[in-house]
Amino acid sequence: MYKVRKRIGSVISVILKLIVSFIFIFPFLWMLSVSLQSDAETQSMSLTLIPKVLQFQNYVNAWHSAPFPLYIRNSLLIIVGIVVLQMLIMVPAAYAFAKMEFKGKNILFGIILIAFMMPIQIRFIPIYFMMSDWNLIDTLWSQIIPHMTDAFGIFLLRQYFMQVPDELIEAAKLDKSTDLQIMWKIMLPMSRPGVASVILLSFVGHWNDYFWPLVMTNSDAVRPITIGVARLKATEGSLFWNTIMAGNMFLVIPVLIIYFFMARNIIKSFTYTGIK
Amino acid sequence: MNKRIMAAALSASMALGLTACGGAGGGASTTAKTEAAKTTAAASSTTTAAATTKAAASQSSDGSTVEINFWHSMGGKNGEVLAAIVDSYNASQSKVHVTATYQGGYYDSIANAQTAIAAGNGPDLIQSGTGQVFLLSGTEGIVANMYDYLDKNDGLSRDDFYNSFIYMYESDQNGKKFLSCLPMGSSTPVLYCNKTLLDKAGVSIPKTWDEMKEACATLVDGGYCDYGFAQPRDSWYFWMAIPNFTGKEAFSSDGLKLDCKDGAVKTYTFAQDLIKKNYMYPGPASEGGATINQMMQAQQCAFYINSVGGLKNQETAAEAGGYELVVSDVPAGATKDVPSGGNVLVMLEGDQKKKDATWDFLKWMYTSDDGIAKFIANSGYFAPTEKVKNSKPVADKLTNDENYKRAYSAIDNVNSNYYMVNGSSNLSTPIMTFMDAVFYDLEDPAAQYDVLKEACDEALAEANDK
Repeated sequence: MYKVRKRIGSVISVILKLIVSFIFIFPFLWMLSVSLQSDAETQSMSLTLIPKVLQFQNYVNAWHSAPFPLYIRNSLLIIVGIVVLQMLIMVPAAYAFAKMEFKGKNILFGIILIAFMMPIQIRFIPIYFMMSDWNLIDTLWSQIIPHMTDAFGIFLLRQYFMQVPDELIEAAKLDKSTDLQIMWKIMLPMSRPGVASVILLSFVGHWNDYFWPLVMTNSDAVRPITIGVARLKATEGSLFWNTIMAGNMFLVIPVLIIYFFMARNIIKSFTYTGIK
Repeated sequence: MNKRIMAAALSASMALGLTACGGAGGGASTTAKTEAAKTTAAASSTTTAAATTKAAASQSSDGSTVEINFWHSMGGKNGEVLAAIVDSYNASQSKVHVTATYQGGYYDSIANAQTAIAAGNGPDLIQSGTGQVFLLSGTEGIVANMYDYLDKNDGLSRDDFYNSFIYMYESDQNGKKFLSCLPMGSSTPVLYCNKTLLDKAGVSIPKTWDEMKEACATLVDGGYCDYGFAQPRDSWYFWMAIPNFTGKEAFSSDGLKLDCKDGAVKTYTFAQDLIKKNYMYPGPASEGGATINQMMQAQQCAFYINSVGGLKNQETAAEAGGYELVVSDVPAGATKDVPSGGNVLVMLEGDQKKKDATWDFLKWMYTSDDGIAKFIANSGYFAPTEKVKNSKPVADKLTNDENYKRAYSAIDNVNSNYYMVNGSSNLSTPIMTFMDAVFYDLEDPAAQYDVLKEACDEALAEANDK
């Protein structure tokens, strides 16, 4: 009886997992399907799940509708710039909040949490003026500098660093290791899943960002791929969903590749820190 | 060791890459930007503007070329047409170089412009939606007075424009007539009809709302289609409904209050009744145009009230759906009034040399067959001037497209008086809330009007600072 119950339970569990997976995967598969459909198939009221003839020309059309190589180059520079600067700033900050004692530590951490709760829409006007005063509007820097630190990232890394036993740090200090060495040789290797999560979340968030680059830039020379994808959508006139979805595939594929390589670390990170 | 070499290489490439981050001015960043511009040119012809920015900037240093920044909202095919127009202008002369940049849809574009103008980084020319221009022109000193140029009668004058598409942008500023923009692609709502379906049901094209109700009853109750007529979810149709259905304006004469309770309740009770019987489909919450296009193509509805700018879409849908499309005026209520819409060109205040160069571009746009005429011919918009209407591309379209020709009668019915009420452009949100409550939730129109009035009066008071 117990075995039967257990089997029923596991079958239900598998079915539920499949349903949840389908709910999350279907929009992506739908996007892929539409990106390969003909105009007639996308405009018909009857639903087309599998295109009769795969229309790879949609990808060519999307690619030639805007300077995508330039946009992708810009997106990569922005993302690498943000992630590198974030790591340089956030890792020492999180280490200090997790393992060092200093006056005003809790107040400072509280200020960081306030920033965590403040939406970007509230902050963008003063930041825009700051960037403008520094003559950085319409450059890649105005898309990197405002994001070079992130309150959530500091919070997440701090939580992770706090799990590292103090004894390890004390032992390292007895061996005359500097704080920099402790961070580099102890904290980071032991917190790899946490660091991977912060990098991935930052990557996804900024790779998909539309609002910030739209406000901070005026020319194609410094714009990221999200603006290029938005350009595929006609403000007036016919919507060619197949071309729009092909453009969206350019946007999504790098995120999937990154996730593919980092998935294990991310799951480990969220399980370990208790963040669900 | 290998890892260290790799890390060093990555750091070096990162540092090199980020040299492209600098703004105009620095030597390294200039080189990187030029390279970026070259890449742009190689990638697509639509981005010639971006690719040639650097070249134009260098020419301007010797005083021969003035660089103009033109922000527009045209994505997709219309964006490609606009880019080709700008390319033609740039190729036609060497005094002015226009850099056209896509800035998102009308709302994104205007929000971007507002921020940039406040920080002193605004462009020279903006293409805006008709409703959004008032968000800029409401503050003195932002937008240039187009009459300053039109009244020079230098190839383009105020008399060239159809009054229906220009009068609402006129105001008095410091005792002087002020025109905040020039219409580019102008539009009104029109009635798209599936003539094949109407003939099958023995129904004529309705001229009044009562006839529309009767036609829809025959079509829907007789099983010829699922819905009678469809209309996208847009506040534009509120401004159509009130004067058309009631013959009265929506605001009090001083423009400080919404004052159309009887008319609004009558109009929206009528509309709600149509919705309950499936005679009217008020469109989905988003992408209404695309969805209703598909419904028209599948012959699920017989009529569609939408902008004339969507004519090409409807012709495509009719061809794919295998039916005859006929364009007619929106049914009449107490009047035949319809609002105008589309997009406009707004010149911003600034350096006189730049303004003069912008005017040169605008003048060319309105007088060359490669200018706005090309844009109009590639869409279904009305020509804003008689000259553009008589240009070869638009004249050809009028000859070959009976529906486009027929649609022009709507110009005589334009009533865009609501635009002239200061603050009316800030009322979209409460109006959409009202329409959603009445159309989707079937709430009582009278009670919802009271909610709408409170929100509108508050917004108008704020706009007029009273």
